[in-house]
Amino acid sequence: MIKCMLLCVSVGFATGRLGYLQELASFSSTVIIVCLCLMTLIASIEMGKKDFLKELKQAGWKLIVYSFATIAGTLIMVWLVSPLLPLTAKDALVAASGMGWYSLATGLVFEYSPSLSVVTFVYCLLREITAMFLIPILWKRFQPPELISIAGSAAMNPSVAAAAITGDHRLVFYGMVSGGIVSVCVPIMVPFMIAL
Amino acid sequence: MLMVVFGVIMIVGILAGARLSWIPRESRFRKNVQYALLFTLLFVLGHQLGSDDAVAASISQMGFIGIFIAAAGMSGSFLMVLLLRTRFEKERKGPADD
Repeated sequence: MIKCMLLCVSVGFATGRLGYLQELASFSSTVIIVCLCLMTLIASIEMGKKDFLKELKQAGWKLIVYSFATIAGTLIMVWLVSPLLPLTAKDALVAASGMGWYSLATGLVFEYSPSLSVVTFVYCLLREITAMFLIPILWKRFQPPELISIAGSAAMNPSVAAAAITGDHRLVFYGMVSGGIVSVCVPIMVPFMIAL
Repeated sequence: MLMVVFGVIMIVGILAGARLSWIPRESRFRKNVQYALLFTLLFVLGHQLGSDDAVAASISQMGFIGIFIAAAGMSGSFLMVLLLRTRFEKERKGPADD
């Protein structure tokens, strides 16, 4: 899957670089927004079908607090390290607020700054991939809430993979609920950060 | 504006998924559409990036910044939730120790 995604970006990049499909530039913004709206709709229907609301009720307030702490931790840490980056603190926060949802966040950030969308794409993709490896490695020393927080909004996939490796099925539940809550916040947070 | 639009789409989608029984729980069509949209989006984004000379020139630097933000973001979330969980556990153990 990740190979296919990188292939799509690379082929698109190569065609743009070589000057093919120039006419795409005139309506690419519309294509991006339409794709993002439809993808958000499908993703949220999936969340509704997977009893997200029921699971949210069962999860209790602590898991909801952990999900918001995941967002706060990312934003605070990125804000703290932003002076070390050749970006403004706002731009660093815009990229960080993608939280791992590469398709949506990259598209939203692209409208604001194409170069920052590269940062967002790399950041989001790495968050998911790294979580897949780190969660099973850290599993014996730490508990599911903090392990799942590594993945941000992309917690569902890494948590299923980690549960298969470790046999700890609490990870799937935490991943579903925490990933869901963080995902709901991403489409609101990215435009909010851009508007700051 | 975009924030409101996506917020509304998200709420409508979750409620539709939860309430409308005629929408299948698992759907191959939905998954395929999602993949098609994702690949289209990535292709268009890649094309836009490739067309822009300034972006194409700075792509390696931007990639490095992405790695840095990923490391900072993941460690920030991890530490924040770890601190919070240990605090909740201490609070829960507190009354039992008294």
